[in-house]
Amino acid sequence: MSHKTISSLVAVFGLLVSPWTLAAIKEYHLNINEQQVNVTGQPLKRITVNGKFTAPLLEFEEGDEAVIHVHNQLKNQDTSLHWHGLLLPGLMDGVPGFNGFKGIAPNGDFVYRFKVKQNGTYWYHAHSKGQEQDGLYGPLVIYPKGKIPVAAHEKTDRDYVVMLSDFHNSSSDSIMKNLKKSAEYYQNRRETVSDVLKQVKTEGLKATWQDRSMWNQMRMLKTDMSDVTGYTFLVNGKTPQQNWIANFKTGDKVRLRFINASAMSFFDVRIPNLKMTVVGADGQPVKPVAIDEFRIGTAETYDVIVEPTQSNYQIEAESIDRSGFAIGTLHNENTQAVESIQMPQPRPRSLLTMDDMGMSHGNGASDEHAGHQMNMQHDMSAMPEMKKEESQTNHDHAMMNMSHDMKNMSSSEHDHSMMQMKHDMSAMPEMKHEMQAISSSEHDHAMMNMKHEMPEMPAQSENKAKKDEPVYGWANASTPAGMKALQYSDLQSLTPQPDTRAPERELVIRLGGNMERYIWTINGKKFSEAEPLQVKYGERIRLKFVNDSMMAHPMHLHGMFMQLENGQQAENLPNKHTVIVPPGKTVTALLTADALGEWAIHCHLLYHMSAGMMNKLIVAQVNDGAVDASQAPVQSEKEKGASHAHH
Amino acid sequence: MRITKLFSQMICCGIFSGVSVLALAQEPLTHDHLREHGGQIYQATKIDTGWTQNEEGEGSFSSELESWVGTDENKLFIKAHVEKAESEDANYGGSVLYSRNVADYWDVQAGVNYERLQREDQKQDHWAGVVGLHGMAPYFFETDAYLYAGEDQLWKLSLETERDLLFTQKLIGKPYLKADVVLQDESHYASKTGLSSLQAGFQTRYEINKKVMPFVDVGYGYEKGLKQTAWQTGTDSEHGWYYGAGLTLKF
Repeated sequence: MSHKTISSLVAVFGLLVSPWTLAAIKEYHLNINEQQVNVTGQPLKRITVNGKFTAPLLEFEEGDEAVIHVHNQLKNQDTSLHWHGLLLPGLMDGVPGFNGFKGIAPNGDFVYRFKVKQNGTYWYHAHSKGQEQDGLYGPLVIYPKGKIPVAAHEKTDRDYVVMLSDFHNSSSDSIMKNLKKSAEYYQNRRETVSDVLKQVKTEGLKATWQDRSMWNQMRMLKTDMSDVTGYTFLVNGKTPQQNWIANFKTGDKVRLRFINASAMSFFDVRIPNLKMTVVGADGQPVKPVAIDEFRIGTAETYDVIVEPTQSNYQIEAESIDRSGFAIGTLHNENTQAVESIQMPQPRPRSLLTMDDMGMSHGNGASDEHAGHQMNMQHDMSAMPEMKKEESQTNHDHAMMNMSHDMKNMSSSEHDHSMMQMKHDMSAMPEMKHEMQAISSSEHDHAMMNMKHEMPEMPAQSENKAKKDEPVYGWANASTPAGMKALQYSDLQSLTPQPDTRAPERELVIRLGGNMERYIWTINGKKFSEAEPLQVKYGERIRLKFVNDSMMAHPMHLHGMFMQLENGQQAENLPNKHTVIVPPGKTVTALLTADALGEWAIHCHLLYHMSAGMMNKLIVAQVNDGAVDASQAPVQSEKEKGASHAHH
Repeated sequence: MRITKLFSQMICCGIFSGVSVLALAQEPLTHDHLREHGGQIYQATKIDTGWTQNEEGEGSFSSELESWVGTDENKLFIKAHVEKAESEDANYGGSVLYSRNVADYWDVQAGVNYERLQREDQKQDHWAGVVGLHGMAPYFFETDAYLYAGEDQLWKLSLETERDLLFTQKLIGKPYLKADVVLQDESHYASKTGLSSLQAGFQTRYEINKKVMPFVDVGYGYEKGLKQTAWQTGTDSEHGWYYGAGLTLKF
């Protein structure tokens, strides 16, 4: 009897308390299956979620208890879902082979269950083989608690996800196999003999030979902006012809949540005639930045707010290899319906330069260096001020001035030499060395400014140049003069960073590749042969991504946000889950290892990851003995670091 | 007819050995996820078939197969070739090589080579061991260099190198060089020692897609000739232009 009453009392108590403890449970059922889909006019077997191609939007509120039941109805392959950018227990992160998660077997189920600890724009995708490319990706949006905007400026009338992706008529499996047969399989805009002849004509035989021989010795292509072509680019699963439309009313403020859910593509995104205000990066709120366009790397997200006044706008996301656009429309619902989209003119494609190569590449023969330095001297003479500065011992100062000088040089006759200089800057080995050696934040600032200012310059010259004139440099988006393109250095966290400690140590992550055999590595090893990276729980480290390859790599860390060192003050560094490391460049980010577990760190270009560009970062409590042994020096280093920071 | 049969046999042999490599690699399933990030097994196969004529108008048919299966580090290479000159019997042969990646662009290969020569109702089977290098030299030269050591005190070097020259994305020229140097050969139907054959030519292919590519070929060839032995009379060296057309298939 009494037992019964007690249990009923417990039940009643539970019911009473439930509004507080259980009300916030948000449950989803996701059935993963294979179905015929027709995106490009050709019915193809692709992966669907709940019968939809491109998986449905999942919505949560901060503080929710997320419960996601995933059912694998694929016939003969394991699957998995990873919640990209979410802070959660390792097992729920959904990477097979990590934290004891074994993937979801055919006809199997897995219940993801985690507390939603953040808000913002995220996405989810498969972490098994190439399933992401085959359709297993979708947006995931977390609203602030009670849907109250995190700041006044974030108050909007409309809220849309703009998920960009790349669709291929070949399956991910055959794309990977083809890349392994020939890494050039999808390179359909390589330079030809006539490009070489043109260069001989304009630059002379000697310069052409010097330039070409370097590329030839390294066995690399200048045109390798993206490894896979033949994509149709989608907005929320729709082709440009299908034209995804977002409605607004006159006077509306509209939030657009851009997600780059592509497998292999970077986009330059713009909405002609409409200013965008960036308010979020990788889901995390940032101080508003007004821009005209931005480059979004694979797996990154940006939230922008727009205030449209025209009746129609076209959202244009152009792939950086200029092979196509993802297009959608903003439409004032009180005006006439939109007619079909207008395919914009593609911007010129950039050719990679030796700057994108980084001179640290491979066993760069000494004669290459010599050749470069010769060029450098030649170009330097065009800039007497710089030469003067450069000879001073204070290199940092020189660099700052240099960027200054370069900005001021705007007349068209100087454009060429400017481009050349950019090209040659990296060739000055000592200088680059200096640049990399600088680590305190104020010096970073100078460095970042320089890096970021430079790409904009050739763009200006490009505007004046003829249409088919080549454009140089990975970072060169051909942004029209007077237009503002978002730079990493513009990003500042909206709320102060809780941890502003100086890093206790540096973890170098070298990104390498062998384009000929389509092998991509971290620290020279593929994931299949690599030792995991180890970090102590609570440790503050600097992740130093050094890109030794000629491709950009969007490096993604699971489980924790990195604070991108973009030249901003320590408390303003923006949180990022994915950091673009441009070709030949070094990018650093700080990390507080506050999440125990095994976390994937990998290039988010799908086929780079499949080829091996991935590793495991283990955050573990160090056992007592070891802690005692190591604590003392760590402590002192911390103090040193702290004083350094204050200084 | 015989040629197709031979090919099917060779392909079968290739597939068989491929499967065995596959089975071997798949045993430890515990590290499956690791293998999916750089440890996968891939394959590539290429068949060149063509008809060539020399200055005298003598034609010959030839076909070459190259197939590999394996990981980035360890591969099995199968190479086979058959040549048949007009009104002569076919010569054919092939190699099975283990290929080990030793540097970014280079594999060391070792294996066995088999050649069958047909001379006036006489057949000569010839086995040799092969070691060599396979890879890409600077300036994009695809290069194969092998040393053969075989029966009847055969010592032979062979070198093949080629690179692509893009006229357009689909019309692609390929200058190439093939050379054989016989250091020693005591077999019945031996070639003369020294630079025994050399071909320098320019192939131009049109890539209808990445799998089917018809080509035309023009080049200059040199043969040092046959050695005087008890079984054959020696011949003088020959050289001259040749031209041809054919089809490359990749899958």
